[in-house]
Amino acid sequence: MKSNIAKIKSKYNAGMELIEKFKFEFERVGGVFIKTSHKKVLDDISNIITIENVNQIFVEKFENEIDEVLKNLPVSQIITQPHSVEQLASVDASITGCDFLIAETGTIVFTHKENRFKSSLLLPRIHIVIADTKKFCPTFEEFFTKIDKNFDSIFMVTGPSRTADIEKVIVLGVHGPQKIYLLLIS
Amino acid sequence: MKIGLFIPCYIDQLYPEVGLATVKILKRFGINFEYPIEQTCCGQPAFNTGYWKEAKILAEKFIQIFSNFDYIVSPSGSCVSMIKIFYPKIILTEDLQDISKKSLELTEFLVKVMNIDSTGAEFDHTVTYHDSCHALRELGIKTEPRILLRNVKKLKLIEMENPEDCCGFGGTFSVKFPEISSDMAKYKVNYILNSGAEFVTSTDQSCLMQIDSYARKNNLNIKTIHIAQILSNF
Amino acid sequence: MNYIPSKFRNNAVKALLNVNLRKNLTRAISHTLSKRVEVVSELPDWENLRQKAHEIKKHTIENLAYYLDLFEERATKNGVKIFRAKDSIEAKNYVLQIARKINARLCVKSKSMVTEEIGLREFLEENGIETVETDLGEFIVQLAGEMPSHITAPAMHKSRDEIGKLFSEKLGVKFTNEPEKLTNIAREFLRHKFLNADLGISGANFLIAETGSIVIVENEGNAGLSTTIPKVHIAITGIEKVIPRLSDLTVFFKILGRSATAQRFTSYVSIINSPKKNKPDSPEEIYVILLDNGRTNLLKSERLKQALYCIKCGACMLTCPVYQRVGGHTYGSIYPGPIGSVLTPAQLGLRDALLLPFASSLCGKCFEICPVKIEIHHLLLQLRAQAVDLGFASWLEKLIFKLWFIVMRNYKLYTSASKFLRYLLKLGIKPKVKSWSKERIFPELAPKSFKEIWRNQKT
Ligand code: SF4
Repeated sequence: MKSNIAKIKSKYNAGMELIEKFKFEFERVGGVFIKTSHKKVLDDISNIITIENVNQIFVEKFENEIDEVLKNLPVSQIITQPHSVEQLASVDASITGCDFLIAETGTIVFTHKENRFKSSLLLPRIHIVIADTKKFCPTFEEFFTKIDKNFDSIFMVTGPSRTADIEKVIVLGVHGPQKIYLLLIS
Repeated sequence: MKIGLFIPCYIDQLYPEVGLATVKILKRFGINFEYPIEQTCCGQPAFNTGYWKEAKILAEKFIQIFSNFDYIVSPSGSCVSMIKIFYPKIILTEDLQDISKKSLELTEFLVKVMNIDSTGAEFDHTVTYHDSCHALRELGIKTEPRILLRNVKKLKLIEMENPEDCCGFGGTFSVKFPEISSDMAKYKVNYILNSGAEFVTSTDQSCLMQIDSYARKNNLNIKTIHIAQILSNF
Repeated sequence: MNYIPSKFRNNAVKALLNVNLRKNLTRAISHTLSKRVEVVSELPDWENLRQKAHEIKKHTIENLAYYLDLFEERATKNGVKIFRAKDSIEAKNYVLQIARKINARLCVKSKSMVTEEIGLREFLEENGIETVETDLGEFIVQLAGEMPSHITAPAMHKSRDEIGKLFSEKLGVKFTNEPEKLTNIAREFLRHKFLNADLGISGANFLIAETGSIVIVENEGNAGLSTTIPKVHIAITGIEKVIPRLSDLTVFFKILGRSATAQRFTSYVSIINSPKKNKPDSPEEIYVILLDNGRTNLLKSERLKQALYCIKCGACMLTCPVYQRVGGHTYGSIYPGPIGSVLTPAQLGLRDALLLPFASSLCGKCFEICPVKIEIHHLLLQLRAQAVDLGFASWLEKLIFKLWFIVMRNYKLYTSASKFLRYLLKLGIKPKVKSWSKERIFPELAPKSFKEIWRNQKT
């Protein structure tokens, strides 16, 4: 146990790059981190869709070229404009963007947006987040000085949904996603 | 430097040998000390049970008796906590600050004030050290007794599992909740037995009393000895 | 078992003998505490963080009225409705009023000790509103008809077998004792509730004065859903939960998860500022109930007000040797363990919670672990003094201390008494302390006191 802690510490001290630090923390809480590119992103998501057996998917509006790319996903149904929460509850996975990536804890931050649905971050079993390198922020300290305090709401996600309420056994996917992927486009 | 020796009432009545051992140590190092005969109790039992008015009167008396010393030394972390930490809670005057700084538990006094790390004692036994809650968490005493014990000739110090766990005494607690108190003693006694040490020692005789009472009732082979008795074995 | 604080000792005796309970407690506690050491020791500045957290809380509690007003002003501007409730009755009635207004039939609740404190679930159910706990641990204790036994791990007193049996009895599912399967059963059952709920009730871990925000920290996602899906969200919380700035969270983010569940950071944090219309998954109305319920009693005491710094992490319970042995239910109070023994007297009155401040050996482990550095064990002493001041001690105890005091304040009397006791001893009369002697041998007087030996040596 001790040597483990020492290892972690020395890794920090070595001045781990922001991305590497985020990756380390994100993976430590059970997230799956994938580096990708505009070209590769469709393939990567298609892969996930196959592995996770996804049929129906919710896709958030990105308002950029990704919207076009994601139209070609190999699934039976793509929802982009949900009319009810039931619809969001019925999909197997969701693909969303995000606003910040906090390196110190491996946290993904979502702020309220017209096209964002908070329940899409929670209801499906699989959550796939697409981000670019501009989203990184080293610490919460910096994050709180960066943000505009006139937000409607903020939701922070650090790994999958989890519980240890039964004999301290960790079970993932209680009410929220069992698996969370972060695809970093660089 | 003038030292006032405080021998807590329960040591006076039940364990005078601990007081004598303390005297022996102080004498060995030629420490100029006095034992004010008018001392009785620091007031802790009353304070601990909620009788703060009574405790306050005893505290004021205590301060009066010990006001002329540079240091007040006592072989009890618990009673020193009473003086250092809890007097200021019941007496809200200036001179108290002084009393707080002046009061020291025996091992702390030896190591920190006198710069003594060995009393020259010899003790040909294995010993395990129990951290008394008051000494440890109120006074922050952890290394001092261990330093002194390690330097006792022939003594082998064995750390038990969870040396910082409470023995369950807690004064009034042990009377009001004897079942919980005894169960805590039971665990402590097991840690001690598992350490394999022949003796268990501590800065606080009250903890040792609790441990000993439980062990004897249950016919367990545990020998308790106050740290002053080991350190004075020269 | 009778779950009231005055039955603490009886309950404790039973709990001590309950092998199963003790096994469950030990497993849960030792697991969390050892993991906690790991995640705390990683932070080189832990003590610093504790101190910072302490100072933020101290500053806020010293200026509580100001920050509550500021919070109310900002939250109101955000479109959130604020209600200040003096006691549990006011709080409950206000919730019912809203529920009635929107014709609520199904309410989903996320974990909140304050709602336990006021008995909200039972109250809503009595009034015909189905109310479901959605945190897995809380859901388990609701099914069992029990109270939570710990404030962040409500079902830690139960084993997987017990939970399996409970689920098959109450939910009509096939018995399983696998945590994963049990969790899935709960997910399916509660998913349905979430989608049909018209009212969501949560607590709040923090309220931010400068932005009027509600902050909820959790792991399962149930709080996120409870505050998102229903059209109306009510957050009920104690007045002590307000902190000045959003950036103060950086300190609490580091200490809360580590102290509560031995995690570096919890899975989810919701920071909610304003309701939203015309969105399928946002509440259109948000209410915050600021509950007093005895908290201003603590505020009145210069010393006891420290108890209001509490961020309800539950660490003091896990580390407490008394709690470790008897579990949360034994205390008969909503908040068990060391801090519970300070908070409960403020809520119920000291007379009804008289035993609790005494149910501690004062070892100080609670203070040592507390992430906001509340001197809990010293507060217990303070309450003991209050109890004696108010005359709650037994006549026998009063008499004993009276006699003891008379003897101790006069060393001559002390010397005579010491001789007299030895004389009695010679006659074979020994003092007996019954409660001590069942499992312990009461110590005996030495043949000669130290004073006597000292005097003899001198002369
Ligand atoms: S008193 Fe301290 S340790 Fe106990 S629950 Fe409150 S914050 Fe946590």
